[in-house]
Amino acid sequence: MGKFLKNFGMGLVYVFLLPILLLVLALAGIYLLGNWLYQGGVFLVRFFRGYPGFEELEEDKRVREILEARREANRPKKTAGGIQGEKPAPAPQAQNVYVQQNFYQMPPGYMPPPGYTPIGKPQINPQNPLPMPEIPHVPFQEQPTPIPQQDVQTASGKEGAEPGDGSAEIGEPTDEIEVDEDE
Amino acid sequence: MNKVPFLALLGGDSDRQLLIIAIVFLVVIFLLLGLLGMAIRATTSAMGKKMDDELHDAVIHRVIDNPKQLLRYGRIKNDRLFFKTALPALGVLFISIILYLGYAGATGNWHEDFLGHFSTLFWTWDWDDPSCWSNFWGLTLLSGWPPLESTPHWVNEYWASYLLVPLWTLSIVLFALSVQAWIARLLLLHRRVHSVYGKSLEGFNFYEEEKAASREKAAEPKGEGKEPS
Repeated sequence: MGKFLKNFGMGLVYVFLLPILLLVLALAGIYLLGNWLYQGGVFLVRFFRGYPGFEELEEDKRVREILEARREANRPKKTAGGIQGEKPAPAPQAQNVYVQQNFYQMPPGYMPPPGYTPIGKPQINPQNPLPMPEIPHVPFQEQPTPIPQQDVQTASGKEGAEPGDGSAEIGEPTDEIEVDEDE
Repeated sequence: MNKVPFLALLGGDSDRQLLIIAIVFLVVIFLLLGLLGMAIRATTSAMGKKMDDELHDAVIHRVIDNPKQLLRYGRIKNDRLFFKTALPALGVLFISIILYLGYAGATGNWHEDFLGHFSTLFWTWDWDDPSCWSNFWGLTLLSGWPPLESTPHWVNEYWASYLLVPLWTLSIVLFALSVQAWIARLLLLHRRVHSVYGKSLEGFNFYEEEKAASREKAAEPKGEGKEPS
């Protein structure tokens, strides 16, 4: 009932307000029609001169600059260590592999029946028992082992060892080894 | 003095019936007007919110720092927005004018009754029939349903009216909505100019502030602030 009376009262008010509202609407419409034609003319002239239809306002320009600066500041920068602000890739985690082995106590002398295959164990092909890729054969190449200089000096500086007396342990002829006496 | 009931003042039953009909009619009219007004208010309020979108960035980033600048900026934005929103309405109007000029130029019917032709698509009643009007205390009131004049029917010759009248109606409605939205945004702009830069002294008292400052000063310990010797 209250709502009904309120609507009724508002209706009484709008009986007087509606003509005024319509008058305001009509006057604004006439003004805006002229405004629209003016703006349309300006828009077309600017457009055909190659500019944007409406000139960017100074306030809009400043807002755009502020927003661009903020966006630039928030953008992650590329550095030598990666992208700044980006989370590093997680380190590889150690994986635990559980291998279950079951052992059963059997009586002494027990032999499994012929053809018995433990459950879970893969069948082995007797023709190709290990189906693995072939490893290419690389022939062994013997490389000369360099003689350490220290060993040579030790051999020549041995007490009582004369060159050519056959006491040197190294089988090379000692005459060919040059030893600096000054040292 | 004998009290005379109000209804007894009315001459006969027909007058009473007329009075009741008139009251019901007025109540319905006022109710409808009330609902219409409320709808206008609601749509105006909703349309005005677009102005906040337009002003938001410039005000939030403190690019606009005084009411005069805000008013100038808001008006320019409002006019440009109106240019865009009224474009469909005026585009439809432009098309309809081109059609009208083409049709009238081809047929030579420059003063055709387009609205009358379009009304053939609706029921029409003979409102001039005197039998449906009555005189009630000097007022001429509608007292009955007027006789039906015609039912909806299509006339091939009126094709231009069937095309032009809906286009005109559409453009007028769209343009009126655009104007209403422009007014709504202008009203909100003026409200924002006062609310964004409004300074309020509500709850402020000069002496209360002074007293509070002196109380704080008195509450400070005396040795505080002195450097140890």
